[in-house]
Amino acid sequence: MTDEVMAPVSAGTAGSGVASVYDFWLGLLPQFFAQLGVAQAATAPTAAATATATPLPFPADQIAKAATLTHQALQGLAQSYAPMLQAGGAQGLLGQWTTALPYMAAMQHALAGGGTANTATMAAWLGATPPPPVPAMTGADPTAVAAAALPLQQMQQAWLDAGMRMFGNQEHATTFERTFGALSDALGFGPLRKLQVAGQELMEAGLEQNQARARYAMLVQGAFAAGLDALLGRLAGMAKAGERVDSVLALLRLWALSTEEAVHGVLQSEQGLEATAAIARAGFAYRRKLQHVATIVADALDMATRRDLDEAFREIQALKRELRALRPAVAASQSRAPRARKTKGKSSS
Amino acid sequence: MTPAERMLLASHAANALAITPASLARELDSAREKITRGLARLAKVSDDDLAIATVPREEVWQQDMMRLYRCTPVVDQPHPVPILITYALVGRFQMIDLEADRSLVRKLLAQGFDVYFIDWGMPGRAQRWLTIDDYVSGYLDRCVDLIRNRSRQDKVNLLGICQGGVFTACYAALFPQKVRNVAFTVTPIDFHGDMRDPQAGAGYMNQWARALTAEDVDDLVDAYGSAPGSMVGFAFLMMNPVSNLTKYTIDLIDVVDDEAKLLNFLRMERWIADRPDHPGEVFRQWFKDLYQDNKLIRNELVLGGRTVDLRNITMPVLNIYATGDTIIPVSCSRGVGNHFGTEDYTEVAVPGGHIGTFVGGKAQKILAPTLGDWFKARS
Repeated sequence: MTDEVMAPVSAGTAGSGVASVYDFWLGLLPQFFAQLGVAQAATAPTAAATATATPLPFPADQIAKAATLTHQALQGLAQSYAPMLQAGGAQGLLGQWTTALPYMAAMQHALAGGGTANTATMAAWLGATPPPPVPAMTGADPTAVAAAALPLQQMQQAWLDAGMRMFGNQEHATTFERTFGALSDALGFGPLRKLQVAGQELMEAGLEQNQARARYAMLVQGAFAAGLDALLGRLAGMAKAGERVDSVLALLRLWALSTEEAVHGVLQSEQGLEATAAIARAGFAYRRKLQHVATIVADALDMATRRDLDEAFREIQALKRELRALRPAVAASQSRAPRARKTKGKSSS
Repeated sequence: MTPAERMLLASHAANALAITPASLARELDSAREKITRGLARLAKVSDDDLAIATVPREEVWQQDMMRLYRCTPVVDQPHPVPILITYALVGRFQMIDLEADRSLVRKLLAQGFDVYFIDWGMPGRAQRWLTIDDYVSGYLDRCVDLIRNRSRQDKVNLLGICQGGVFTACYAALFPQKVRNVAFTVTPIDFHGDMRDPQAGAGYMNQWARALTAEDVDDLVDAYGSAPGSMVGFAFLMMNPVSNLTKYTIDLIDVVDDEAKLLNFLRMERWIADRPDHPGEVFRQWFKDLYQDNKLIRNELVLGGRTVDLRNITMPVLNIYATGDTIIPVSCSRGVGNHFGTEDYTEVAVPGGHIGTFVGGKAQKILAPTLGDWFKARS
């Protein structure tokens, strides 16, 4: 009997899928700071960890990346906020955020209105194009509005990426077309027709997924807008009570608190839950369409499919259950059986 | 709110800010210095520094991807009735022994208990057909039988955590003759409890599950086979998306500048990142039978052709919930005593959140002593 000490969990055992979530989440950090109006720092930080020759163990490597990004962002924050404070005091600091608010509110309004304006709005936000002018912004400088909204757009894009990570990635479709375009000659007419139909269905599922993502992203964007409003309300309340915030990091934490509350409010609402379910549903449907396409090709080329493999595993599991069901009977018969006596030089038979 | 109203509000809000260009520069310089020192500290961190779940133990049994361990007792004559700890499938068992001074297992050992625990491992594609019954009537029952044989006891003590608590409840209801006492920690029993008492930011998983239809759940399982660990991990991050971003940015500033805090943080992150895939059929049952149809508390859950009737749980029950639990809302765990068949039911609240129950400073002072005293009095 030997004691063993558990081997530490490493990045390898954590699995590439999980590591990719880490990578993705930390990849949101620049957008997070952009949301706060932070310009990217021009110079790199002094980061001993990034200069180290040997790789850091997981997750120290990831945290070093996050710390390095934060270091850079704080430098950017100083560069962005100092001129605002110099020029406009505390009002100037809040100006960065409040400038973007009417635009976001208008987006929400457009979303609620539906119809072609809604689709156009979503399309603009989904693409890299600058946001279109909206009636609520009449009188505002469009360039300033676009500039103010840019970080928010980046954050929104990041949320879209998040949805893509969670429920499938349409880049698969492009890859698929490239790969199987070359194989189509080998498949024959029947499978090719099936493949074309399946490809069409896949494209439609992709479009539905985009719509679901856009609706979800707009809700999240609305939550961020509500969070900023809540922050202003919170600060106004503090001012009335004679309380002061003298730290920019404390201000950012207040922003995070207000925004998180707003995000909960929106995402736990009926509309939020519906949007979450829709994005999940669209993701499952897209993946199944993709699998269908792959199955057609595999069948045509007489290759084992995911379905075949699953059936084999199902059968194995069913056999294991049958075996398990026999265990009590076997144990009982063993306990009933008389023990064989050991006798020297004499057969027991 | 109109733009004019917002501008007015902003002008009032600005009165609360006492940040000047000079204070801004000082504060950010200080923060950057902390990070620079932290990066130097991070560069020296070794894999050994980040080892988690290092309690000495022996492997007692192994089947498929799961393993049963016995922790090495630290007293000459441990309590005769062993405790079997069953963790959830959505995370790894290491949470019960994250660090030497934040370890439920070590605290129970120090109280003289003979402690076993199950590592459910990393289910692969071959395990996608595993059902809750395979876990309960298969792996768990086998573990209990092995422990009964080894310890020469007819019955053992069970301690279930979260989803593992549900498995434990099912087991105690189906095999009551093998269970001396059963303790649940942060375990959902009433999966619709959150509907009676909704809380902002809590019970996302309950709500997401109910927002899906039964067909959606089938689609998910059919599309993915097993629910990927990355998907489960991502879902947890999305429950608090903003604070999960500040955690890696502005909240990190003070953490990296403190050796002890940094190592605690890194070990916790290592545990968080270790998300196994969730077997598809268990996922299907979990979402449809439990989150959607709440069959456990209604005594309608059927496993392997047998109905799980909580009234069969006639042995003593200890139910520990966390007052700040947002993963398993308090309303899903608290006040369920009248559903069990036992007349010896105890409910205890610990401060903190779901995971804080096992690693939080305040909860640590309550959890293990409560469990220890309760088991001792009944073993």
